[in-house]
Amino acid sequence: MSSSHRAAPGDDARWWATLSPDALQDEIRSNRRSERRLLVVVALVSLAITVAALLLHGGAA
Amino acid sequence: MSEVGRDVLVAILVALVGIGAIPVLAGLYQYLLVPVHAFRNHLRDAAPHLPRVVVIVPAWNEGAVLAASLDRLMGLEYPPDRLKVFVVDDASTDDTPDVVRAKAAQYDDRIVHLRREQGGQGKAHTLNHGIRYALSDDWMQALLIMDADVIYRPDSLRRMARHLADERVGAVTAFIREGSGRPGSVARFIGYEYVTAQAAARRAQNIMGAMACLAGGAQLHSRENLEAVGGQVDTSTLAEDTYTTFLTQLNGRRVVFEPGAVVLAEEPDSVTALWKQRVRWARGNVQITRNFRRVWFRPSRTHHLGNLDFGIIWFAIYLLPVAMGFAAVGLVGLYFVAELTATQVFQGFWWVAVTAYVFITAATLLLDRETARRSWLQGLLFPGIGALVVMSAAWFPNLWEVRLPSLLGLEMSPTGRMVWTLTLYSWSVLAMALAWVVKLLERTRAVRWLATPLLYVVGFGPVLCAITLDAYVKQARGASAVWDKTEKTGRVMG
Repeated sequence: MSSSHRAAPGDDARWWATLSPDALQDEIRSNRRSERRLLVVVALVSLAITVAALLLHGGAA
Repeated sequence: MSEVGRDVLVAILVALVGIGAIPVLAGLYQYLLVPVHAFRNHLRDAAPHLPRVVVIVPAWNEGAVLAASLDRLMGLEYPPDRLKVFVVDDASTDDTPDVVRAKAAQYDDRIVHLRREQGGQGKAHTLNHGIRYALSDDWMQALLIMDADVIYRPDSLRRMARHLADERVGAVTAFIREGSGRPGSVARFIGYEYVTAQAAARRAQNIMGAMACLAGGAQLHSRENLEAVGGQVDTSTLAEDTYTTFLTQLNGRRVVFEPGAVVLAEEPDSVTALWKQRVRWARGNVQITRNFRRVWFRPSRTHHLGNLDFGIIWFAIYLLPVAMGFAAVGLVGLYFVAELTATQVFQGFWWVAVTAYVFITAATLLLDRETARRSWLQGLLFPGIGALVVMSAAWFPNLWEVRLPSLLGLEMSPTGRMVWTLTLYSWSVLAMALAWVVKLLERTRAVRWLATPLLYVVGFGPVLCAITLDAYVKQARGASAVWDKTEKTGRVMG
């Protein structure tokens, strides 16, 4: 099974669980992408909330 | 007092408040490193790698939780012929031996029962019994140390093992997530705390290249690393996992945190049980700090434990109760010596705290959404309702003294205002004192119901500070260092 044939939820997990070298390499690549996406979102949203709080305080003070 | 003497005193008091701000800034620094992990992490050097793994499960009267843990281990998505489990039974008096023997029969002897006839010496001795057995032949290529009550997600072991493909890595740790089936307030607070202390802090430590601690319930060592650290874990301290983490790095090997490997654990759900567990951990950290005293703030080519940022973070946590005390002494002192300066410093100190609180809370809740769903309230109230009132008082001067009372047609008297101000200034210490009251209330049947509301007022952070302080006092007094087991019920979901 190649990555282009996997569309349904859980397909990735089943493919990786086959433990073939290709599957494990694909899991590493996918985890790297997920980590990048997650942390960029975390950083941007947290920063936006903090800036909003500071601006709100500036307006209220 | 002369003018110069007064100025010197003011400078000293302001400096004390400044010291109190160091842990807040250190926490903020760690969180600012977390996004860097998006682009600089060890997955770049990881590769498909499935070494032959021996899992050591230390067990002392774990009959209630062991069967589920062993079933989950046997269900790991890992080649069955590359996985063996050694349950080291520390002279259990419950049905632990029967449970292990039944599971060994069920899984064709991939589970091995190792019995210590004389137990009670602690987890480190129990682990060493199993490690000696595992090292006695050449089969094992990597060793996983875990706790009897944790549940490994099916993909967790292989996600840890892939980092050992890089020979520079000596050990890998996973993300321990609080996973009680019916968590109460304390367990929910711990769930949130684990995201800050592991999912966030250990990502930052990956970036710094210095890891403070391999989670006791999830540490995968390469055989080479295990042999290099002496083929056993330390038995002289209460923090054998931290000891091994430091030795690994001092030998020039890296320790990696894998956030995608998730392990569920049931944590204490009362302040009393938490206190017992964390006093042991904190006393262990005192021993580590002392044993590795020649490591701190001494940069080295072989490891990063001596780097300035790692040292500041270690001591910011280690000396947190002292820092909080300094901040309170500084502010209260300033109130009597230079009231206007006290107001400005108070607002500045808590302004930093509010900024850190908003950023860290938002980041933590976003970092692990499963925990956020369970523990969002405990995340928001982690510093305590009291600290949130203090923050609001710093951000909106006169809110509590003038504006809110005037809405009710009231006015605060000068004495009331002084008491209120001193309460705000000394809150960091008062909260630690109230944390003791929470523990006392919990032990008193008639007023036990008051313990949880007071916990939310005091906050979980100050409770941890108070526990740390208690640990230092016990350590200084040379109180006996016993290995208390945290009682578990086997209510881990997953």
